[in-house]
Amino acid sequence: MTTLFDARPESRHYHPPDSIWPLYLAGCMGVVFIGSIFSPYFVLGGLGLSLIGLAGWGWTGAQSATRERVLAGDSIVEMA
Amino acid sequence: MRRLRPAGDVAALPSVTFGPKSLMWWGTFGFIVIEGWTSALLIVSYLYLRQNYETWPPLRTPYPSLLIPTINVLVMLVSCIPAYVVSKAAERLDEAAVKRWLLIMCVAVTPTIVLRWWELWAINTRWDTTAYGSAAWTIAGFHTSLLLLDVVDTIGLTLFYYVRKMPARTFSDTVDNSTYWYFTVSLWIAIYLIVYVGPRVI
Repeated sequence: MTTLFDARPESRHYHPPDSIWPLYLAGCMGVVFIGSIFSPYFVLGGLGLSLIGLAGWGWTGAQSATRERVLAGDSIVEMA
Repeated sequence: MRRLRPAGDVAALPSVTFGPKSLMWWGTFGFIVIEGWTSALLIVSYLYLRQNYETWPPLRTPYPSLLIPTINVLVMLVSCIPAYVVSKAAERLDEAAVKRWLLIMCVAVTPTIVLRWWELWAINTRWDTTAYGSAAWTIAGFHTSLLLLDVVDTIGLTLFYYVRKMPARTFSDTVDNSTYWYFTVSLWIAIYLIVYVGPRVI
């Protein structure tokens, strides 16, 4: 990541690993919006399925690969 | 094959940042812009419909009730206190305080969803009776989706903090979660004034 105007390197971005969950959630949104044309119960069903996707995406996305350097105030703290 | 030339050593740079230095903050900011703009369009539609009527709500339609919506606004305002405290704790990298205050925030934000159910019915008309009912339900219903999202996000974040070791970058996510909650509450105050109080005034 760089600064907005001068593009000076400011921080390193940790890119999350590949995941199937965003595609799964997109499918859930399809169930919600297309299903809502036919019955409101599709909205509830789609949102219920989304919870599984959100939990799965959050769980896999929250795995720490390396030690991280955290910018807290003006100082940098090393954390696991 | 062309040899790559290192342009700089960024190993010493931080990998976790807060606020506008964080990519997630920009994502949250973009989401706020999109949802805020959508809400603004819905509110403009509501006000446009209002000028087509002699009376608002239309004849034989009662005013929205104020009791439950007012209670929910107060609950939301109170819930901003733990949201603020947990945000500050996350910026201090104080994991114990983050866990404690996230739990308190969960207790504070969950009732808003329960109250919202009664709040929707406090509009006192169905969505399919008049354009007024349809517009009021659409605005309140849309905000309910934002509310539900942030409550689920808060509960999920809290559960993750308690069941596993969370990486340091989650502190930044916690701050963004609070920022989004402030937006959700601010937006609802505007909707409360327009949809629930407004018909009595304009």
